[in-house]
Amino acid sequence: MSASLRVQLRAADQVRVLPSLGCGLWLETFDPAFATRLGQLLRPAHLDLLADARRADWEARLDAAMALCAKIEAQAWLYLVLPDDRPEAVLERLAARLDGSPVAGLLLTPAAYLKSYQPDAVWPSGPSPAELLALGRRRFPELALGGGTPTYFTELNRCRPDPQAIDFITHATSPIIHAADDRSVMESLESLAHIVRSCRALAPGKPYRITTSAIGAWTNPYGRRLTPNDGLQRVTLSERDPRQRGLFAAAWALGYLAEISRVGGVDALSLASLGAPFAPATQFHPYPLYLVLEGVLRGSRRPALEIGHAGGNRLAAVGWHESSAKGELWLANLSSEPLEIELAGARVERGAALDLSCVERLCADFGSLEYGSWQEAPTIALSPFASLRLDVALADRAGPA
Amino acid sequence: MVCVRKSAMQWLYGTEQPPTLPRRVDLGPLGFDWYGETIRALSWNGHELVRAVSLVIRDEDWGSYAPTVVDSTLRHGSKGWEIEHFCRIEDHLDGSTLLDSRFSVRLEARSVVVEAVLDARRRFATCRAGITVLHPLHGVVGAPVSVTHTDGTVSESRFPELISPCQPFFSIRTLRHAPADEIELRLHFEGDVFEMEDQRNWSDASFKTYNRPLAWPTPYAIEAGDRVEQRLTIEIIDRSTGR
Repeated sequence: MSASLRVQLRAADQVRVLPSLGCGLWLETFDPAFATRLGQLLRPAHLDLLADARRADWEARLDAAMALCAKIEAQAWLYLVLPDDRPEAVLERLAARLDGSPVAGLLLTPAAYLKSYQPDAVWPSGPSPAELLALGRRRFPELALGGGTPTYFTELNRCRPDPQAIDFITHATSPIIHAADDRSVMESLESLAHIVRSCRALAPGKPYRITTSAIGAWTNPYGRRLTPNDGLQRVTLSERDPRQRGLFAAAWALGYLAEISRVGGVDALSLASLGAPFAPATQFHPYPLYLVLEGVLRGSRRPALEIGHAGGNRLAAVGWHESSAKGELWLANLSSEPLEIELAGARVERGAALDLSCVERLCADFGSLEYGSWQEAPTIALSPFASLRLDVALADRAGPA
Repeated sequence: MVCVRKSAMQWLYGTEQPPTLPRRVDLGPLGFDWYGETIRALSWNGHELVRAVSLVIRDEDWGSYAPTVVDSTLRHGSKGWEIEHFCRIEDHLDGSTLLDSRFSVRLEARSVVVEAVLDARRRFATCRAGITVLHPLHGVVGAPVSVTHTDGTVSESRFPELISPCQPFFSIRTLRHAPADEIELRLHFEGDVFEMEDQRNWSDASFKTYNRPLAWPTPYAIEAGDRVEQRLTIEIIDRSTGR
């Protein structure tokens, strides 16, 4: 039995833009050739580079990552983990690296702060994020310096930056810290509105960047290690979640973007990474997530469609204006039950589905979710965890003012 | 290159491991989805009152164990439904039995009683082992709540609106709040010290009431031969009739 939902495209009083849409890049592990190929195909607007200056080769890896960003014309945002001992020396070496190839922004995180501490616990004795920020400010007076964490909102909320001292605020999220079943992972999307509202309140008016988030956890701030996973188990705190390879992750990513777009107030969002741990593809073939990213990354900074629906946690809907009368709309079924969608305020001109019936063909090589023939019907069917790309003609007053 | 066709399960989830599917357990307007050691979406006429009640057993790094089910029964008793679910927790490395667990649920017309019994077979290091309740966000965020503490004192408070970095409530014996119009919920905890966390911090769509204060040291040990017993009693009070 499928549920029937109505999706209404509405006229917007104020045109909002989608966030800058990008990906992450883990400097320790990325393969420059593969990352470049993925980057050229996906065209992310920015890359969040995660580097750990405790590693001997971090400077050479940073050079390679900066070259990659230049080649694919993506803004580089550097999330640098510093040793707790002599961070000044690292900043000196960083200055030499950034001379001539500046980053768009920089977040400095003391290594000890990759772990989480209760607000009333004993905190690490080394330099704090605020102290590193001050050091960074002296060394890089021209650069946008962030407050927050490359880990999860929790660590930011427990170690709040002085909003006056920062140029942007940032954190990631992971849906598999406490629970890893399908239902909990999809339900986690409901929390994003609360996270955005709470984070906005911590730094009103400052640019807000959600850094690389995916179905996975790249680090465990709450214990010694990630949960061992052969890549086939749905377990908490794992960097190898199987659903990343399935239609599930494609739908989840659309759900994430749709919720961020609906709530507003987020300036940049990174989903997946160009290489481990959250690659949307192998060297040989893309995952469904790749096909969704290849489509929606084009929506970066575009005027968002105003969409209303009562789909709750079952349906994701997000899109952008191609012109005053045209838009590109993406839908995803976030549930394991089929859905029927009735679209109001717009007419579908062309469409393309990513579902069980065609996923094998579409994931055979690195293509796009190309529009095919579209059979006009009163409702649009979405099979479990299917994603849908629609070219829509907007009804009167649905365009930007 | 050998090409192996992927199954539908692999295209959906990236694994042949099937998703766990619930069994719906209803008694009149009250019901929940049952998944082994978890009940979810406890609802009254379709309105979610409690997001989940689980028996949670974490390892010494906050990772989860996958329990091995030993026996599981659902039967209709004289007053409603009764679930008994027995599991074994095995060591991640050598597979030896660490503890045996019993998770039981009794659903009656206006109440749900959940019990957890753990018997340690070996010295068992854990960050948490016990009953965890997830409270939904809708009808809860920013709403009034009355908290009876373990010392008997009562605080009249509210669930946080913005995400709280620390636990909003400590030493919880009983919570009373109204997650839906006309419905008052009373949750009574026994068997350990319980406190609440704002799980939205971790992008969970819930508040969580769990056993053993986080301020106490972790990991901690349950000694071989020790038994842990906890109980949660949920009462649903229809405010229009007072019953």
